[in-house]
Amino acid sequence: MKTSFKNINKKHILTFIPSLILSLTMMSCEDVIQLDVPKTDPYLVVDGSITNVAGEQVIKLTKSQDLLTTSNAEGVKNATVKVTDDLGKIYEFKDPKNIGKYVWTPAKVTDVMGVVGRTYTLEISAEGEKYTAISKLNRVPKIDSIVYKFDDANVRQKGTGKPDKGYDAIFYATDPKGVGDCYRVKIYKNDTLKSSADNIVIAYDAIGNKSPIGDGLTFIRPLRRLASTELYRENDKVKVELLSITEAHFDFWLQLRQELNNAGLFARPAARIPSNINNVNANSSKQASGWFGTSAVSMMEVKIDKAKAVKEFNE
Amino acid sequence: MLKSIKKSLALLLFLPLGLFAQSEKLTVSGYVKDNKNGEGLIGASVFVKELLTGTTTNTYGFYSLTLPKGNYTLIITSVGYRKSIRDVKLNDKNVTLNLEVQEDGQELAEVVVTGKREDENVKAIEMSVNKVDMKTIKKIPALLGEVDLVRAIQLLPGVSTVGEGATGFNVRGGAVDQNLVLMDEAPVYNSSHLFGFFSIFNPDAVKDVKLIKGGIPAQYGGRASSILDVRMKEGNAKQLEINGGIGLIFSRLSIEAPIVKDKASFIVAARRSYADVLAKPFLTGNNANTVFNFYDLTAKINYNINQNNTVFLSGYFGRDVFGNEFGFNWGNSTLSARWNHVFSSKLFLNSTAFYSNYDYLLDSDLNNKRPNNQFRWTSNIRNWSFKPDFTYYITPENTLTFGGQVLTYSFTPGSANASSNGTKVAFGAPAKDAIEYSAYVGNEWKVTPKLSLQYGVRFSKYDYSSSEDVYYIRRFVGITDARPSGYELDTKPNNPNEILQSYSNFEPRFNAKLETGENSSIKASYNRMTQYIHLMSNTAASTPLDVWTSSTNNIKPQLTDQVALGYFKNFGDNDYETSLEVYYKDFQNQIDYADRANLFLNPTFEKDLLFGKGRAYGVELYIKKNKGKLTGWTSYTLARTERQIEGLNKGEWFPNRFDRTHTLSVVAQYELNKKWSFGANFAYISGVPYSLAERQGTVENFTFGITESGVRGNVRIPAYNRLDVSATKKNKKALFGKGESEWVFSIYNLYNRRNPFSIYTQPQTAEVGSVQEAEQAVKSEAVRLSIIGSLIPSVTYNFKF
Repeated sequence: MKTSFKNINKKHILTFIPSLILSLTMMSCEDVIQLDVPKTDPYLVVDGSITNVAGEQVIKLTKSQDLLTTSNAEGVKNATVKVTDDLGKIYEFKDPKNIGKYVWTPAKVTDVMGVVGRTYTLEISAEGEKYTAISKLNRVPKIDSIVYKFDDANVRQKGTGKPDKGYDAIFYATDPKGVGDCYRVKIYKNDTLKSSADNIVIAYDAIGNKSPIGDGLTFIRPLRRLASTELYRENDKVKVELLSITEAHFDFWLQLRQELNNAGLFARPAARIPSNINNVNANSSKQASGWFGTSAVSMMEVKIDKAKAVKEFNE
Repeated sequence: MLKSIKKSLALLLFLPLGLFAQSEKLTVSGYVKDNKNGEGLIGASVFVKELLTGTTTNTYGFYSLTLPKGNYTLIITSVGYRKSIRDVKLNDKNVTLNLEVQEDGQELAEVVVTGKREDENVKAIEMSVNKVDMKTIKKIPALLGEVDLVRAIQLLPGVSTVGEGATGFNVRGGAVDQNLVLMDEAPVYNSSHLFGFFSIFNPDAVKDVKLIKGGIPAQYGGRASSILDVRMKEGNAKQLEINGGIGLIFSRLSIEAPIVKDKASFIVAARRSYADVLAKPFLTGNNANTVFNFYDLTAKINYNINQNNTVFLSGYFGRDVFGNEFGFNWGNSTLSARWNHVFSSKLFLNSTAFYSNYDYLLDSDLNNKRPNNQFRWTSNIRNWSFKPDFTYYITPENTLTFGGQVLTYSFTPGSANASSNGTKVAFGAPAKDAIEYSAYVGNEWKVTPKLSLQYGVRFSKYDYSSSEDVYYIRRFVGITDARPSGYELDTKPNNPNEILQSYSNFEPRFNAKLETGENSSIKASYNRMTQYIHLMSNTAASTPLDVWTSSTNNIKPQLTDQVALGYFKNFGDNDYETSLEVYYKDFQNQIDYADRANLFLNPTFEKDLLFGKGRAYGVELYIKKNKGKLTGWTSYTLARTERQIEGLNKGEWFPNRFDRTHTLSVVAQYELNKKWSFGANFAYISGVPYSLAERQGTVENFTFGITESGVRGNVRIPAYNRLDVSATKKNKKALFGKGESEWVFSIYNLYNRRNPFSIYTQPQTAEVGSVQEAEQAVKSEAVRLSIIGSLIPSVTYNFKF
């Protein structure tokens, strides 16, 4: 039995309730159980994004599995994968290792595929079906700074294997005017992407939810602070990547995060995670899931240096 | 069709008027009160021995009987009180007769002369009504020892909840927002503290609770499913009384006293949770500023100006506060002023003016430390209302009720102020306003000693206006992943000073009772209810942050029609009451939500709504034992509640998320002796439906469920069962050798069962120390959540001076 406070934390705005009152009053618990799940025909699952960063671009194709399967998803091999931009230029993706990982390799390592403002169409032919997806590559602002200070870990930064004292880092970036810019924030600690479900950080303009209120602001404090889901030690490298995504892609991450955390008293009915991959034959039993994304990327990396730490954040 | 209905209604209403004109009659009227504290008794029976007829007191303890001239014997009975007999002479003028009756005494073990209570279960016209007195509620074993009115009514037939700890309750297949919860006539919008674990009603301040599930009389309106009518105590009019208690969650204290003996009195009752006080020494560093508490204050004052005029002023204020640097708080406040006026001994008026407000605040900076980086969001719903209610006691056979109400609403769905790095912005989902007008007339007619009819009609009109300079019209364009509801909104210019949409509805109400023997009756009822406001909630349990919204040009008022039929029988000198009821309910204009519905701070949320209809039906069995050392009840409900929503579940019927097939409750209380008493309750409840994905896919290292759009309730959670027990030890003395006190020991969930609240999939928790392989996705696992996963013992100390 794991005692947990998930019963309350469905809405992420509710996660901040001090666990204390709950431990005093509530004795909720979660047990892992076995469920009978139905057998299903596999769907095509697409996981790929093209960016304006020089170098290889990757699109992975896998088969969906029965719910709760624990083996790795099987790659979809021998597919034809190509991307066409709105000027008609074609980019071919190949699977050299024959594992379902399709790669566009530029002629020179400095060659860039994605261009801001351009629209890209993905076409996949796999296992007798044809799938397409369309996405526009949107603008991204630069990251202005990463600032850190020495502090105690707060409730959200505590955990097994995480330092109790260390450097708390935040990043600053400002959303350009115009409602509806969407972003994903990726955090790397010592070159490793932080990749648990609570590291899915997305922004609609400068705030976390879809509302026009955040337009043109500096990313609000809770988003800035998500650079530190745990504290850093001296000499740790902290990299923040800000990626533009489409609004539909924002919906994808929003719902994916919702489904991964869909627990407790305030759970919602399991909802469909949107996908921009469409089978040309809408009546086929082999439909698709996943996302084909396009992103402009800005990034900043710092190495934690005691001498450069600030005493207090300027907020 | 409608016209003919109206015509026949009018006929029915005035048919008995012809019977009024009879020989000269006189009226005896007055109040029935408790002789110890002066509280008016609700529903006490006043029976005329010679004529074998009678009446019952209204919610203020008033009765009126118009009888032919003569000498009569009145027999006054009420549950828990000794029978009282009074002679009255109606010779030349109307008589005012106030009656004080004596409580049955705590000495239940001794044989006391108890008046044979009039057999209300069988003889009263009302059906689908449950009254539970606070004394009984206080003896039910409670979670953490906190006496809880809302949890107690969940043990009644036809009442259920989406799960343990969920806010509110569901009545006969209706949603949580379809219950009109009245506190001294003012509506309360959120009946819970701590998300739903405790109700907002202080047990020391509540006098009477009545739940009306069907056959709802014409004087009530505004919600589709039920009325929970909670009446607060008036305050002891005879002497100072102090009640209090210390439990694990709340400390309680109430003071009531006469201001002018037998004329004016007050009660002030307060509760506060104090976990934060105890925890304070353990909160250091970042947590030192943590606040978490909930409290409520109930106050009431009444003044009996003279025989014909009484005024009441009552108020409630409650709040929950949680947070560290980020936090939120929410609460209800109500204020109601009432004037009871007896125009003549036959015409009784209660006028109520009330104010009610529910609001919440979400704040990223509770301590106001970072004015340049804040986010504050408030939302509220507010009412002002005036409502006169008349009762005209024409004859013992005919009681006419009529009245009306003007109810104003103001909705602030969301108003936010944000600042980021010094830049400030404000945002408001535009305020909406509405006025609900209603008028009703109803008559209760005792056609023969065995047959009674109650019939009436309520008319309501709702005018909605928006302060926004545009309004929206929904247009169907087709369901896609980007548009899960399938709707877009067209924008039209709006004049904020004009009514944007108006609705009006007739709501017929009908009850009939036919006695089929000495101790049995058959009752039937039909009611239509209209509801103009809606709680936007797409989570399993509704949250304190859900927004109440008005009917608009897009959102139509909810309508329910219910028919119910019941058989009522008492056994053995009314020791046992039983009833068997069946009901069928039809719901129109039900609201549901498309996938990813965005209900917060979103002026165009109407795009994400889906509409449809519902139906609910069931059988309810209730057996209650009233007398003896062992008392209690058993209720069993077999029910179904479903909805059919355009765009969900392929347009097919699906069960509501609070659909429960079987609900069995057994409540038992045993008085061993003067010192010790025991309580137990047992519940067995079928599981609610939930949805589970069919497949899983992988993106990056996230494994996620793949679900078809709009699937609802494809799997069911296993059944729930639980046993609670309690023991109460009464002490002769409280502190300083005065008053009385008691210890209450209870164990909730005695056999330590982990009852499932929900089942879901979530990413597997990585084992501590293991490193996820770079290319390997985190798999998902199925998890069963139990809100209360262990037995919970508790101790409470109560005292009274």
